[in-house]
Amino acid sequence: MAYELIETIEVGSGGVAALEFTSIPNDGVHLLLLLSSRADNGEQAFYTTINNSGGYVYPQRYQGFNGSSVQSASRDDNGFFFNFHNHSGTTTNTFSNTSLLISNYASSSFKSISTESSTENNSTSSIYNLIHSALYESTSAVSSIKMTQQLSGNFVQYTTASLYKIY
Amino acid sequence: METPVKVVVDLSKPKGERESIIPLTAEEIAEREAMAIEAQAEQDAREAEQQAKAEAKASAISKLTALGLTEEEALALVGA
Repeated sequence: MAYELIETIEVGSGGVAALEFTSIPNDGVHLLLLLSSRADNGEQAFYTTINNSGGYVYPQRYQGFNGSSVQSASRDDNGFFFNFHNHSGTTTNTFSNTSLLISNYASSSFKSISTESSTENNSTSSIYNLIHSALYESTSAVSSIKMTQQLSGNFVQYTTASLYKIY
Repeated sequence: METPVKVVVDLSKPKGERESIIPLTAEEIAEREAMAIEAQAEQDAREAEQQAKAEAKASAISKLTALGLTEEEALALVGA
């Protein structure tokens, strides 16, 4: 198994509301996205959309720890799946880690998605460590991935997203 | 209010020419608002479900202790 870095986005001054990779080459087996991120508003969620296809419902299951209790839940979101990351209420200059794996992304099967994410905060609240699974119920190859910060916020400067393909 | 922007990396282009920063379209802005509303609705539904479970558990413990069980025994029975 070999990893090849396709591209890295580093957010510049002023931030951006969304990060998007388009025309993803379909010559790999799996896709891995590593994200170091923080939002400039108080919203902890960002949304990921594949192929800009709002017509798909993403069934999701997740387990996690929120700083005080263990949580386990399922949800179905129309057009996106969610993750949590650092926001303006968390310790200054700290960023979240998120890894997002899409297996067999170029196949004609539905695409399994798994993510792990952890927020950083010097507190017993606003801490999320999540293991999250989702399904993209499309037979099309994954050719674009977009992450959008919740509501009117931005991903702050120095947020980075690296996309790898795995052979 | 400034139009929010996104950074787009078009991987069909050569390295060094891939990245552009462009405004979100009206459709994308509307989608972002719709996603937030849907996410909040999901969150509210989950919290309501958890609240209902907690209330049912408290009610069960209360009824079991009224039947003569100790609180410890009742807690053990309901898995608390």
